[in-house]
Amino acid sequence: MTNSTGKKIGTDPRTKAEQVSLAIALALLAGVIGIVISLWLNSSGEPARFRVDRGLVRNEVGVYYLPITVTNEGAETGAQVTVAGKLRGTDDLESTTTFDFISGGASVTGVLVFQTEPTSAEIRVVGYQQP
Amino acid sequence: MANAKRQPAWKTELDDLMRAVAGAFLFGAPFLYTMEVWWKGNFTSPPRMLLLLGIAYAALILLNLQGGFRGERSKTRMRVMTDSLEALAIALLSATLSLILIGVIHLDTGLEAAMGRVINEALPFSLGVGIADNVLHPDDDTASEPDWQDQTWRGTFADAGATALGAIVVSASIAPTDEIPMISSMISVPWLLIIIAASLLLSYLIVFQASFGAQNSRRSQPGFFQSPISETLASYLISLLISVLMLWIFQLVRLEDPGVQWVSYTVILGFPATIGGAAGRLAL
Repeated sequence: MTNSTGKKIGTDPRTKAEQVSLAIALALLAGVIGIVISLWLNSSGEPARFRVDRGLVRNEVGVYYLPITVTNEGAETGAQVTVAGKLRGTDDLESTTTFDFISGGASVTGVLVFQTEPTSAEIRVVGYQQP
Repeated sequence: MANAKRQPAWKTELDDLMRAVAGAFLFGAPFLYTMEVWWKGNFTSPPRMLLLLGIAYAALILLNLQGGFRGERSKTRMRVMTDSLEALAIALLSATLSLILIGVIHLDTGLEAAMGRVINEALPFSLGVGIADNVLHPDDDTASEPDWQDQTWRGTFADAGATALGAIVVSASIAPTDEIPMISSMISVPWLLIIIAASLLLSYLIVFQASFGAQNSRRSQPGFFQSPISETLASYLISLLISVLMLWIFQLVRLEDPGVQWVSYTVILGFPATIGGAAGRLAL
């Protein structure tokens, strides 16, 4: 059968191929909707809370690179999350970096750069915005 | 005998699904390279995600009443509803794969942020699936070809020009934005090979595998562009050339920049540019 534009109109029973693709599509949709509902039900609404983990310091011709991983252990997203590292006993030797967004449960990595060995540096999140 | 009957049904279904994927990328590519869409996904709440899915499904039902992604149009109410469900699943899958491809979703992305990004991107992808057939499927017998296309080199030139124009339209709107350097910073150099493979595959899918456009008449034209593999390769190279030109014009790359930056930016912009180039050839 065709319509007014000459295009075939599907009136036949669903073929095996169509049944398979529909079954896969339904399974995918059920998975997506299930995850979203699960996120909704388990959402604690906790504000963003950050943990900073250090990596191994790398020394490149007198400059020290300290990799950090920042994890948001809360549920809400933090925007413009600023991390600062300060060498103990000093006021001005500080390195900072800013992450655009860290979602609830997500981790991001960055590097702080120091002129002095930073193993004992104090590293913490100094501020963020609520998007 | 049974196999002979079964084969066309599977092939038809595969063609329909590929057409849906191609439609999703044709419409969704500009949104894919918009960082604000990803960012909004970072704080899209689950109820809002469900609302977005509902809106996408409602839009697909409306689109499926008059078009959809299947060569044979759905008629019954149940067909329209199930085809719309399939279209939504294809949009979600296409959005997920493409966000992984450009490094916006990775293992460290939180589940809620990943779902938010996918579902935000799935809305334009859904519209692309919904218009896949009726907008991009002119009938073969109504396609008229100018006389000058009888000549091989002119046919080739016309196809190359259409590819370049389509690639310019898409890449000129994306090249000046910050998305290209940002995506480049999120992916590794070997990953560029996967983007190249995906670009070639999509270009092939859009013009040939998905039965878009007046294919029979296109294949009857002479010219270098009328073999599927050579067309795909040639159009990709043209799209890359347009991409690098746009990047240079908008000063995203300068002569003193390292080669890896040139290659990375060009391949990343080449992905949507190739899709634009394929769309340009369809419009020819």
